[in-house]
Amino acid sequence: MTELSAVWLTLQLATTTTLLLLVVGTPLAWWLAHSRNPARPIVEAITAMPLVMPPTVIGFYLLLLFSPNSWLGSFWFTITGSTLAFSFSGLVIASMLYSLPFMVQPLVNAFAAIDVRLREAAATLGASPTDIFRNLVLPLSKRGFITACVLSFAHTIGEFGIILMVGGNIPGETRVISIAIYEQVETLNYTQAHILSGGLLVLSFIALCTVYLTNGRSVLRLN
Amino acid sequence: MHGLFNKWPLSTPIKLMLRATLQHQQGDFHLDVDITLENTNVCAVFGPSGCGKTTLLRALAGLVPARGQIRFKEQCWQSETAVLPAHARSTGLVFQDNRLFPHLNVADNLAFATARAPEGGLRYEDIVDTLGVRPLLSRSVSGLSGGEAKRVAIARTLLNQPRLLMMDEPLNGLDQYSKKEVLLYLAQLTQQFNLPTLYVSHDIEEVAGLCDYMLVMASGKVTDHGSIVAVTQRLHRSGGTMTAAPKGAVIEATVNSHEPAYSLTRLDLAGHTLFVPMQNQFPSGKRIRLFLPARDVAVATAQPQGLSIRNSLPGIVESLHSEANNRVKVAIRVADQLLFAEVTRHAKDALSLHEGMAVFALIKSVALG
Repeated sequence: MTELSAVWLTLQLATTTTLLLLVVGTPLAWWLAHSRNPARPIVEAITAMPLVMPPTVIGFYLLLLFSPNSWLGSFWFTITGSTLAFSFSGLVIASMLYSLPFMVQPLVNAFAAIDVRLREAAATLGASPTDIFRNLVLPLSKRGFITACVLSFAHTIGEFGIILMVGGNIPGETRVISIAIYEQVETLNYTQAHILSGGLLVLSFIALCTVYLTNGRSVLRLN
Repeated sequence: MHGLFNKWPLSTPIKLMLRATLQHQQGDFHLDVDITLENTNVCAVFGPSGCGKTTLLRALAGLVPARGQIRFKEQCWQSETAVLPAHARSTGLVFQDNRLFPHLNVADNLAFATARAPEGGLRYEDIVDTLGVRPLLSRSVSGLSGGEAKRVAIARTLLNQPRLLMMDEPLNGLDQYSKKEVLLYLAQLTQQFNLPTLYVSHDIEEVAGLCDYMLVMASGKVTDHGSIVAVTQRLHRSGGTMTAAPKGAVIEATVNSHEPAYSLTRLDLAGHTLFVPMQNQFPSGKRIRLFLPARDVAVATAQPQGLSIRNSLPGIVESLHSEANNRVKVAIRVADQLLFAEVTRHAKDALSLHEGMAVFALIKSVALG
C-alpha cells in the first residue's frame, strides 16, 4: 500500500531533519543568544526568513541550487553520484532550512534565559565551558530542547510547498503524507484523503499539547 | 618590605601569599590596584559601595578580563602573556547572591563542587557540620531562607577546596537574626579551617572579630592597608568624613580570666581591666579583637565613683570631630589603642573637652562583642 510508505517516509524525513537540526541549531542558537557580533541581527533575520517567505519561493531557489549546473548540485553529484533535486537527501536539506527557525528560536529563548551569573558560579567551582554546557546549560534548557524538537518535527511533517517544488512525487523517495493527500484529493479519492488528514490533525495536536504542557506558556515567539 | 617584591621574583618567598597588579575599565569606573598580601588568615576588603571591592574579587577569580598580573603562592594566575581561565584558578568565590543552581537540590549543589575539587583538603563531614547544612541536604534550593542559602553557598565553595576563599559581603541582605547566625558560622570556619580569605564588607563592626588584616578601597584604588587595628585608627585620623568611616573602634585585648559566677570575662587592655560578657571559647592569654561602638562609650573627666558601669579606662583626648546632629566624636588614646566616644556638643562644652586632656572612657560591658 503506497500510503503506508508515505507515512513511513514522512516520519523518516521528520526524524532525520530534527536530529540534523539539533546538531546545527544548538551552536547557532548559542551564538545568537550570546554573541555581541554586529552581524548577529542579520544572521538572526536569515534564520527567521523561512517564517515569512512563501514555501514556493524557497523551493524555487532551492531547486535552482540543487540542479547539477549549480555549485551545490554539481558538488553533491561529484561526491555521491546522484542529484539533489527530486531525492530524499534534497528533501532533508530543504526541510532543515524550512524548519530552522522552529529549532533555533526556542533554543535561543532557553539559552538567553539562563542567568550568566550561574555560569560564572559554575566556572569558579572549576567547571570548564564544555562542562558548564553539559551539566548546567543542558539541564536548565531541557524544556527549550523539547519544544524545539517537537516543533521542528511537527513542522517538517506538515510541509508541502517546498517538497512539491524540490521533491515532486516519487513514491518511497519524495512522496510524503502532504503530497499524498494532495494527490488523493485531486483524484477525488476522499476516503484516503480523510484517513491521512485526520491522522496528521491528531499527530499535530498531540505534538503541540506536548509543547504547551512542558512549557506552560507560549513558545511561538520571535524575540 | 613591599618594595622587595616589586620586581616579581622568580622564587616567591613563602610568606608572600598574593601579589596582584590589576587594571580594569568598566564605563567610567577604573580599577587600578597593586596588592601585596603576606600570609594573613582573613583579610577584610573594606570601602563604600561602588569602590570596586566586588570587581577586585571578580578580577582575582578570573571573571572580568582585567589587565595585569596575579600570583598566588607558587602559582601564576595571570601575567602579561598568559591568563588562566576562571575554572582553572584555585579560588572560591561566595557571591553576594549565592548563585545556587536551581535545578539541583542542596546535596547536588554540594556534589557539583565536590566533583570538581582537587583531591584531599577539607573533609566533607567537617564542612557540612561546621556550617550546619546537614539538615538541609535533601531540600530544594528555592525553599531555603536567606541565612540557610548563604550557608549552603559557603559550604559549596569550601567543598571545591579553594586555596583562596573570597566572600562578597556574605551578610548583606540578611535579617538581623540570620546575620548573627551566619557570623557565628563564619567565625568558626575561619578559626577551624585556617584558609586564606578575602572578606568584602562595608561594615567594620562585622569584620572586626573575623579579620586580622584590612585593605581599604576608594574609587577603584587601594588607599590603605595594614593590620585592622592600625587601619581603623588611620581611617579616623584621616578626618573620618568618608561615608565608610567606622562608627567605633577596633581594639585588641588579651583574655585574662573568666568569671562564670558573673558570666563575665576579664580582659587586659594595656594594664587596664575590661569586663565583657563571657567569652569562654577563648583560653586565657589569647589575643582577641573587639569592636567598641562609639555610641556605647561615655566620657568622664574624673575617676567615676559609685557608678554601675564597671569599665572605665584612663586615656588622653587625641582629637575631637564635629559630626551631624550636634554630636562630637571624641578620640581617646588608651595606651597604644584608640577608642571613640560619641557625646553631644552640649556635653563637650560643659566638660570643656579639648585635645590632650586626661579623661576616663566609660564602657558598658554589655555593649561589647
